[in-house]
Amino acid sequence: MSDTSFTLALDPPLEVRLGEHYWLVEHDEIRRDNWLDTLARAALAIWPGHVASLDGTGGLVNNLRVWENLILPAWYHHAEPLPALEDSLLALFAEVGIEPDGAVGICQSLPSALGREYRQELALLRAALTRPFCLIIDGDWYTFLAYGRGLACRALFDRLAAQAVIFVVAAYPPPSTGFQRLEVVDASQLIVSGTHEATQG
Amino acid sequence: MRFLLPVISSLFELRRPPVRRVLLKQIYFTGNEAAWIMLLIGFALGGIVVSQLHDQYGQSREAAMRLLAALSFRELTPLMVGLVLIARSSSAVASELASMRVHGELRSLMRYGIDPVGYLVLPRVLGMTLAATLLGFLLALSAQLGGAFFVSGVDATYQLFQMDRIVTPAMVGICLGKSALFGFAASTLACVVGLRAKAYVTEIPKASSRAVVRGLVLVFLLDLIWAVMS
Repeated sequence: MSDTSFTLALDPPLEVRLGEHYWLVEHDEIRRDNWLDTLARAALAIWPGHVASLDGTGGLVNNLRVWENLILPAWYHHAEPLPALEDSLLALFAEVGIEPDGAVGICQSLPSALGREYRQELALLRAALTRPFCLIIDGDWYTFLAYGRGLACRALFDRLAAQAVIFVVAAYPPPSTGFQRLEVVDASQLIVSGTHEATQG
Repeated sequence: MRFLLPVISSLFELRRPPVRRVLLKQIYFTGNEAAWIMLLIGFALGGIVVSQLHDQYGQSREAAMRLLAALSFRELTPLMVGLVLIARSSSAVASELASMRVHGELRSLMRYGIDPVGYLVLPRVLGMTLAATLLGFLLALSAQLGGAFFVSGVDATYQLFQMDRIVTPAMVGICLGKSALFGFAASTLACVVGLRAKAYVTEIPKASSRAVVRGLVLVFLLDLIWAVMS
């Protein structure tokens, strides 16, 4: 865990360090989305171009091919050359156990042609390409790590999580330990109040 | 105006490669793909106008061609470009943006720090405006070509060589300016309508329909204002 601390411009300001993980339980879907937006905005002010979002449905743009979706944030913020992005992308596909031939097939398709699990997996690859210092995670996405393709993505996620601040906003408490508890007070203020206990395995 | 300021200030976003890619795609879809349609429409328009002037109103060939140039460069061409643009591109842009909003894609882009005005609105508005300008010129030229063929048949070469005497720089300026204005207005309206759609699936076709209807009204109103002012 890094010693350098960063202060997110929330109300009240939230001091965080890379490698720290936070979990906010919020049952209302609209408020959940709003908190994810608020946290993303605050993180972007500190790490522009290095904040990644993992949405429940993947959050890919349906009228762009998968490859364009995956490179979009990294290309937009860092303007890296396309061959370098392609190499990084193929390495990430290999990390989650997808061969180059399979990767090419996936990259040429449209997101709407893929199943939800694939879209969630691709969301993680898109996030990884930005080399994130902060991950903003929808609880609906986090459950993906517990089954199917998510199991193959676990190692990549853990690698990213070790170097980034993580905020999960979910309708349920964390399934594992290691998350600090975020709590909403007075409807709009976010404070840290201890750590979460694991609810299962 | 509140909506236009961020568009203008976001011109700086063109430094980003993905924004330039969206701009080029928009020019391709709006301009390149519509070029053949415009050529055909222009050719037919020129033929219709000169056949009316020459056959119905007894104008000479030269007079008919002069009137065609004045009508087409100043009025018919920009209006026609506006109509074709609204039918082809405004509806597509509005439904595309509304769909992105409904499916949470806009929200996801914003969480990545991707500015929706800079990445989605600016290249569409700029692309459609540029495409409309070029299509306007193309349509006006093909109308003159169509007119020349209809009044002179295979001897159209003479009429075409007279074009530099008939078409003045002012006419070309008006044609380009009006086409650009109508393209800008139609695209901006389509983006506003698309981005303001409510987050229901049923809003997507409504946004598309609104962009067409309001776009038509806006283009005709702007044309009327231009006519009154000039």
